[in-house]
Amino acid sequence: MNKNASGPPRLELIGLSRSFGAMRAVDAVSLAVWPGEICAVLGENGAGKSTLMNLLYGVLTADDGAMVWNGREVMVSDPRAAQALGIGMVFQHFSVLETMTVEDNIALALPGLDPKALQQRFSTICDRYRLALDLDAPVRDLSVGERQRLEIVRCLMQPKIELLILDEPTSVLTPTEVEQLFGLLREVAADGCSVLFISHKLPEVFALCSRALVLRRGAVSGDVPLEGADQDLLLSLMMDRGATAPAMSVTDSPKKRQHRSRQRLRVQNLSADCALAPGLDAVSFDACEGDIIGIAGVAGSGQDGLMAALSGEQLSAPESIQWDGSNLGSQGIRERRTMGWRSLPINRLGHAACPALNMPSNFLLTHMQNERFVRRGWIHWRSIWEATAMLVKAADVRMTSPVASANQLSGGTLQKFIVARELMDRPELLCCYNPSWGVDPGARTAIHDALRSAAAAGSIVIVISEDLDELIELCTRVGALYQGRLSRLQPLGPASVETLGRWMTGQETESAA
Amino acid sequence: MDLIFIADLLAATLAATVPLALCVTGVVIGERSGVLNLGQEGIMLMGAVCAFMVALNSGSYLLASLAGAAVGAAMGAAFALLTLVFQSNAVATGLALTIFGTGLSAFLGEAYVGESISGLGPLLPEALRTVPLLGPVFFGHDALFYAALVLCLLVHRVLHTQRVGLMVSAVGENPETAHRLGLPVLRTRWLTAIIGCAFTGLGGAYLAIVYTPLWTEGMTAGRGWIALALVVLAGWRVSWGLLAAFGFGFISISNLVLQGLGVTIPVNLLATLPFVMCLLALVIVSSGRRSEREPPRSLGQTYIKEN
Amino acid sequence: MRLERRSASSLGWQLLSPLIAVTLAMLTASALFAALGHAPLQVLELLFIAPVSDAYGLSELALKMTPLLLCATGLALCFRAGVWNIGAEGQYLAGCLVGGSVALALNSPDGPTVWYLCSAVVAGAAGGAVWAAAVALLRTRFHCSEVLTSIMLNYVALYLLLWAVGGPLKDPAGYSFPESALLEEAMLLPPLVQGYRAHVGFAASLLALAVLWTVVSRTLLGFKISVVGDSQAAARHAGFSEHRVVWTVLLSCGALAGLAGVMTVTGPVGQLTPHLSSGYGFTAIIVVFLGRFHPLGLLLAAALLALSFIGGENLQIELGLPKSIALMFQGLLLFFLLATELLTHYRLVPRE
Repeated sequence: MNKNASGPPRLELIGLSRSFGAMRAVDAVSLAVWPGEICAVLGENGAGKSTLMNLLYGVLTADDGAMVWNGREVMVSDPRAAQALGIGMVFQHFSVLETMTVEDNIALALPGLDPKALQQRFSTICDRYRLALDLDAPVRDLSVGERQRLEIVRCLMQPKIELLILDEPTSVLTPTEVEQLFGLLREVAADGCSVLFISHKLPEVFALCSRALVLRRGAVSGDVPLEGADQDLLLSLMMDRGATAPAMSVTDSPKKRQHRSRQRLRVQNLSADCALAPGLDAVSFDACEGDIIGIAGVAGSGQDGLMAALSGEQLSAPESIQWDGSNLGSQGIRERRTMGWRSLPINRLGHAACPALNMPSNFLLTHMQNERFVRRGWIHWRSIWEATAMLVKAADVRMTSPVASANQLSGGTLQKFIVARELMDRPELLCCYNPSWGVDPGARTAIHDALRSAAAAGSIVIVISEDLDELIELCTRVGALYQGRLSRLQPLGPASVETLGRWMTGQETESAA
Repeated sequence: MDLIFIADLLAATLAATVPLALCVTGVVIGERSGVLNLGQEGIMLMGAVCAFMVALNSGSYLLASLAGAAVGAAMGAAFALLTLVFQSNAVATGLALTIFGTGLSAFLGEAYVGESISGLGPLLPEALRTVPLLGPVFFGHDALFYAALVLCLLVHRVLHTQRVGLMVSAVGENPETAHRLGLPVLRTRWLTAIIGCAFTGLGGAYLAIVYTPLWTEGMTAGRGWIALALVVLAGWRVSWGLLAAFGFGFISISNLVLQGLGVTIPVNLLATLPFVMCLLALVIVSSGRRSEREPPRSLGQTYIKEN
Repeated sequence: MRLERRSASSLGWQLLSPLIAVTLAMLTASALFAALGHAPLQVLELLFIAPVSDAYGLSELALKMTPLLLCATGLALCFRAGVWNIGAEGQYLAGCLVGGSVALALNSPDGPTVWYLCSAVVAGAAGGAVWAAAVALLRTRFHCSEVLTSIMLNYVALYLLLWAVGGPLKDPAGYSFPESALLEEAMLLPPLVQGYRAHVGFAASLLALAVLWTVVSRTLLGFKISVVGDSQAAARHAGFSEHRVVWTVLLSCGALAGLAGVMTVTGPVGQLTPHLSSGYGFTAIIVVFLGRFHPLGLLLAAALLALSFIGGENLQIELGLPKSIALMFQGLLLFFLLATELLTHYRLVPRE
């Protein structure tokens, strides 16, 4: 606790709880934040960080517990009430309206402010914190970093801002942008505003925060002053007991074997146009049996295009994708599936699975060409139910009901099912995009193990991910996408995160060219 | 064809525009906030029959217009209740409203078929009405005509230049984000659903107490559906919607035009014209879509508030 | 109280909610009748019980159910695929017009009349399919919302029919009524039971229902339809064409609705008139929702709504009430159905 502070804490939570159905997402959380303090909220994916912050900001309502604001107990029933208290929030998936201008986005959140006063306060804030943002720009033209800046400026422009919440703000930023953000947050805190910084990345937390609140399975597992604190201690507080393979140790994993086996995949000058995101610009790489290829990059660097081109949802020039020497680029997803290719799209619900259909139907979704399940247009539901039941058991997919539909499963459970579905008949190649995004630590470990053992059995696994830790943990070789161009691939240890960070901002690709 | 004939045509077109213009405006109000209400045809019929009943029994056209708008608002509230509270499918709910409105209006109006009322006389003084050409075209209309015009322009102003309009668009683009910005999503949608339908009801009222003026079963003849298509055509903007309504007002009096030109086309074939034109317009608009003509992104989707 | 999503849709509520909706609709209708000064029980009896109290009544019920079931079968396919085809009415009328024209052209008391009749029926189905093909083309090629285009085509079909019976197809020997000549006896569909009006079309509608059941529950096509209806991106991931599914369901629906149309012309009516539909294409939408997309449910729902048509006519004769009461009842029914559907996916839990 910050003993130097006088007066009551800015914010105090007492036993705050929130359940979704049977799951306790936030379990009796108590904490205090002092004026001008930058406090980290640490935890694995799925530990309840985002739920807790949504409770603070009034997006969700608590089942139980109390919130004390500047010494007075308050009820935050909706975001408007939170804003009136002086709480601002920068969301992980931005809350900006794409079809409007920056000015409209700000004006909507600040009622009772005429355009002239708004412009004045906007330039005051931008000058004060040296932020560059064009008031008239349409939001759809802004980069990810600029959108985040818009959200921050919007919070700072609130009539009163005494607590700024940032939910995983660095996940979409390049290392340089992260440095700029940290500078800004330090200044904001120096002006007396408290900051809650949500992250699962330890180095960032050490660089910015004075204190860390660690969450595990919805409950507080530790409240640690960071000065002189031990990384391992924090890690152990974050880690679920029983979860194996600590996230950071990579030395002894089987992926680092040196022998190169048969080369099967060759991607050559793969280019594609994409409607919204940047397309692909002459991407080339190749992969051998047992390879786990990692593709890093800031969100929106061409990952969607690469995923669509590799899965076959979008066709490309025939020779741009070669498999065992034959051209596959112009073959559709069905043809590729018969060659043993599989894919895991980023969007589980509504792309990899049908939300309203039950699990046997979702199983059938990617096994339609299998003679065992479909013969001459007739479906053999009995064998599908049997296969699904086996899969569910083998992959430890916990369902509340055998007839539950995909949208009634938790994200992690569904993803485990989907991974198992695609790995069922030993694919030759599996291409996945953010395979463990937003799932709980147990499921993440399970998914990673499944991917590793597929590679060990000879499959090629391509992991496109915005989570650097995941790539470092899993992959034999890693490269980065920047504006649709791919860097070279190289084996990567924890030490070369810096290199990868440079690649993500296009520094390698330029020097190579 | 002489100038007087053209002036008469323009005046008739303007009168035929009003019911469509009111309905189009109502639909724009709703749809800009994401409320997709396909019940326009039923609402318009209910507005028409109720206004006609009130006009006949009370003799007051003001009361009759208010009745039309109030019935529309009530049906809009029913729609909001089902889609916002009971989270029912918007398309199906709109259809239910149309089927219900068609049935109930026929039921209520049964006794009024064949009755007639005098209709509203012109509002402006004789001196203005007799100004050559301009007089008959613009100044010979009734009070409700001008009131409708003012209302539509007012909506245009509010939706496209005021903060309220910005709020409505925000809710229509992304209700989750709007909620996080602190905007009252559900309240906004309740209001736009109700106000929008009040406009549609008023459009029906104009049809029954001024334009025709009488009541027949199913007298709207698809105007509610045409209005829904015109809103797509207008890119969800009131000004363009009014223009489109004027165009279709002209098509709906095309029999007069053809008569004037001495061409005879079977009346039933002519009656397909507005619908065929609508289809053509939809094809043209949909195939050359520009970004500012995109529908509100959350249009017709069920919004489930996080809590 | 607050709503909480069920972890699995409640089967009990899925069955119960249509029953609750029917009950609520009847109660509301009764209240309305009472307010109008009619004894509610008497009205309900006239609406729902009197029409089916004898064999003749049952035959009439089968007769009315035929077009409803055919349209509803087609619509169920469309709605499952997420294709909001509101155009069954227009497709029905197109079937009437095209099939009726062919029947009139071949109208003769002798010759290979069975084949003539068959060609007329096939032409009717084709007419409906063509009408639906326009919707499919507009959606897949021009990205037009099928809701609006199918509605517009309803009106076009209606006015074309009105034009045809008042012009080219008008009976020259008739009076000034806009009606075609009567079809010869041999050009009419044979009755199911001699002496009653229900015809073989009813058997055809049951067959269509059985085929629907099989396709939806057993075939890959049925599965693809469900996938497209749930998520188009998932269909792409599975690797099949969403457009082909849209075309398939729309053409099937059009053909079935067209069949319903031509079977009305060559069935109970026997000529082309302006009043060939009582809004079957719209009522069929309610049938699909009330029947919960399930074949057995569709059958029961079609029976109830057909009854509301016959009962409506009954009320007109006995009490002088307008028959539009039937439409009103149908609208109410759909309202309540949509409202009660919430409870199949959510449960109410008390707020602490």
